[in-house]
Amino acid sequence: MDKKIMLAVAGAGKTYELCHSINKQQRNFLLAYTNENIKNIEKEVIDKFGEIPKETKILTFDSFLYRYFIRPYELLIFENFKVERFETKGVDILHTPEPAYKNGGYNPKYKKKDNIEHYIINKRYYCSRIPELILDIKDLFNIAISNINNYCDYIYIDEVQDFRKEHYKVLEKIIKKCNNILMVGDYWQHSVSGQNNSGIPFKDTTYQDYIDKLKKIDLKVDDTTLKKSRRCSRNVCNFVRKKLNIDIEASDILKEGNVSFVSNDSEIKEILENDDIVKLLNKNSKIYSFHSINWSYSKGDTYKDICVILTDDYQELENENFILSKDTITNNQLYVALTRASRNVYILTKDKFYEHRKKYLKKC
Amino acid sequence: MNNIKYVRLMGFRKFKDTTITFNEHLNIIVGENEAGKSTVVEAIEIVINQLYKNADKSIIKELINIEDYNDFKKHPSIENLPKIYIEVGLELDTSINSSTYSGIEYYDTDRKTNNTGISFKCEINDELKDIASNIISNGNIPYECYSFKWKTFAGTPYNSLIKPIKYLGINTSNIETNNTYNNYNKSLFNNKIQELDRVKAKGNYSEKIDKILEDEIFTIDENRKFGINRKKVILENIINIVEGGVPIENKGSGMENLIKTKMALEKKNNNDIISIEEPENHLSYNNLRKMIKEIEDREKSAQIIITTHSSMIVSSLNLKNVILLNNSIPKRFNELDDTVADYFNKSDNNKLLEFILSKRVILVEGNTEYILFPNFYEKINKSSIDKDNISIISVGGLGYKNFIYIAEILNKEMVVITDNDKNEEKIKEINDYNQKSTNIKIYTDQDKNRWTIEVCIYEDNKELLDRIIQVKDNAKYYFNGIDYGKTLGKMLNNKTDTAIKILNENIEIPNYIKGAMQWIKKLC
Repeated sequence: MDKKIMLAVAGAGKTYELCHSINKQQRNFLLAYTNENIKNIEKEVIDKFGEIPKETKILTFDSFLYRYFIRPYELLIFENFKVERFETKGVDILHTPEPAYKNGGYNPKYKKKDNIEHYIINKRYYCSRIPELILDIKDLFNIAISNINNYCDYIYIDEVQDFRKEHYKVLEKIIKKCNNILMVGDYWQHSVSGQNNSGIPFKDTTYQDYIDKLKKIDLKVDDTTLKKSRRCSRNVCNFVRKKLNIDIEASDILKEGNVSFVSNDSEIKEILENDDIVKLLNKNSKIYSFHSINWSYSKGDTYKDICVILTDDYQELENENFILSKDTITNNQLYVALTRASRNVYILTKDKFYEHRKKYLKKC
Repeated sequence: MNNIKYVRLMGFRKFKDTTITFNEHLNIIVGENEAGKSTVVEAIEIVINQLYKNADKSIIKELINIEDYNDFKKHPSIENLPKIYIEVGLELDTSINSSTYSGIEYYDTDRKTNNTGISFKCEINDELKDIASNIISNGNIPYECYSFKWKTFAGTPYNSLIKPIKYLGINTSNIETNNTYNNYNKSLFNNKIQELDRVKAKGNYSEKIDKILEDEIFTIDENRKFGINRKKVILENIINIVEGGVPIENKGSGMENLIKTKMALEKKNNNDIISIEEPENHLSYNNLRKMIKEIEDREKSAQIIITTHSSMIVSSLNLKNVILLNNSIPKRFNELDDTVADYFNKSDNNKLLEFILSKRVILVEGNTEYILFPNFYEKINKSSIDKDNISIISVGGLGYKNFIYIAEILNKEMVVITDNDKNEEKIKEINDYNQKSTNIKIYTDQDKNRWTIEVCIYEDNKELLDRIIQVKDNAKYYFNGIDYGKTLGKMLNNKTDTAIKILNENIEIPNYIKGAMQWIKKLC
């Protein structure tokens, strides 16, 4: 039995490492939380093997849960709710389930957990409540995992820091019961795509707490192999370490690249108009005509040169006495943004940017 | 190795709810006409090869269970609409792809065990129930509102293009007449040729079909001309097998049958499961032997399902592989003792199948009994063996014990009438057996001096037999070197002739035979 997690820094080659750990003779599930990740994994696997090996399946965690925990066991599910069986039609991602409390009071539209409508709308399963359903139905998890173990030797999971709340609870159970598992993730990138970092495993959790948590479920924790960034230059890594307190180092492959704050107006103009330099904004990047992306959407991407446009919180970033705010999510998002470049990182403060932005607003 | 573990049929043709469990390798399905042998094979074809996937819905009328149909007619309602459910349990390898067949999405489960397989459901479409209610309240079945659904036990829709096992069926009984679905050729084509090559060929074909009338001036009016309906000329439907330039169906049914079976069994043709319906059809004795040999050779590397009326096939392909269909619970012989199976294999007994299929049996040892007993039965019971569904089967020699094993497995009602062979031990054994057994009784004369049927008949009818059996003065009529007197001696030496001679005489029937006949009659 081999159960391991490798903690990495940005650009250390997590997906590469994960896909290169695969033995194509074995039966493998490769899972990740987002569709973008899945695309990267597929690309990496095809790079390595020339094709997706016959005994390897690559799918998002949500479809994995639906196909291996829900669909084969609908008999159990309907029996549990004591309703007559009807034909379901898959997963719903369009609707947000009604929460128990809304606008500070009880939400009358909320369906309780003992009602199948808590989980199903228009004959489709609410995607976001699938993990909860798996945990709620008696015996379901155990029957499903024993089935999976029968057909799978190894589970591989990319970007494990994306798993939160019920998803994490199910993942934790899978880790405990599966045959073998290898996961990679970057603690500092957690909650980057989410609205908040509430719920397990990251709420009020330091890096060390997180490692202790993982060790408790009998995972081997490797936080050395992937601590060096292959993407970013030494200067970028040093900058991030110093300003964001994240332990990131550059790999031994020497990379040219600088971090520079831009204040000269003509230089700013040049950078904003050069489409080879990708502009990274905290949000609303779409409203500008130049080549741009939101910090959180850039996760997993690599660009040559970037220009990170800061928010109010980081007005003093250049200052030697800069103090990091407690807003973990935004800090993590900035970490993601700063680590996208394989060469130069230009930084633009919000004030400076606002002097120029009007010119680049898309015409409605 | 991939194979079918079981087939469950519900509301399908004659089956209300029946499960047939299969052996890993060889399966010989036997049963009377209309017992449902072909239905079982058809069910497998429906589930695995999606037979009827594109068929007209009117076919459903033929497929539903007649009792279900009548129940509906009596009380027409949505709930009472006939529906069909067929489930094929599969034994699959544990490759990751097999996981898409595994779950508890199968009928009547303990809700705890994952199983692999595919199911087929034919019932009224949920969404069309409202439209159909009018038709239903008029007492009609809205076949057009029915739908066919195939699902794996993992709840995934099943598509036979990527089936987990390759199935090929040969039906020899309607080889000439019913070729509308072209199933054999189609399946062999699909199993043998890689998907990519098939798709290429199909593209090629339809391209050419389109061109056939392209240059013709078959105009209708300014804007319209005649073309070809591609839906009616699907490549798989017209595919054929050609040997030496001659389509095999032009070679005579026997040859066609033999060639098709041979091809099906060839390993390189990739068939995991092969069904052969009534392989004995159109085949000479020698060709049947040949075919049996080929089946035996392939037996261990594929799953073979045979339906048959041939005793030769049953006995030479090992009785242990037989599955008997005669009521809702099929009988299997897989736990039969090897020595018993072996006995039938060697003896090539041509009564074996008749014996298995019979309802009640009078088992006898020789020709004398076989000739006389129908008459005896009539005389004693004032009824006939045909009317009472009784078969008289002669096993010859000493084999009746082997038949008893089988009769026990089948819970058959049977009486064995046997000679005591001057053997006290045997008499005792028989009496002991009768103490324990309820469905099966053995009758023999309790006096060891009355050691064979001829002796018993002679002793009970001395006067009559001395008169009608003609003996020559100068002949001794010793039997096995022993002098039994002239009349009895001649009877023993000419058993069949004697039996025929006394057939129409009003003779006194020995008591043990009377007892046997009365006992079996009581069971009717």
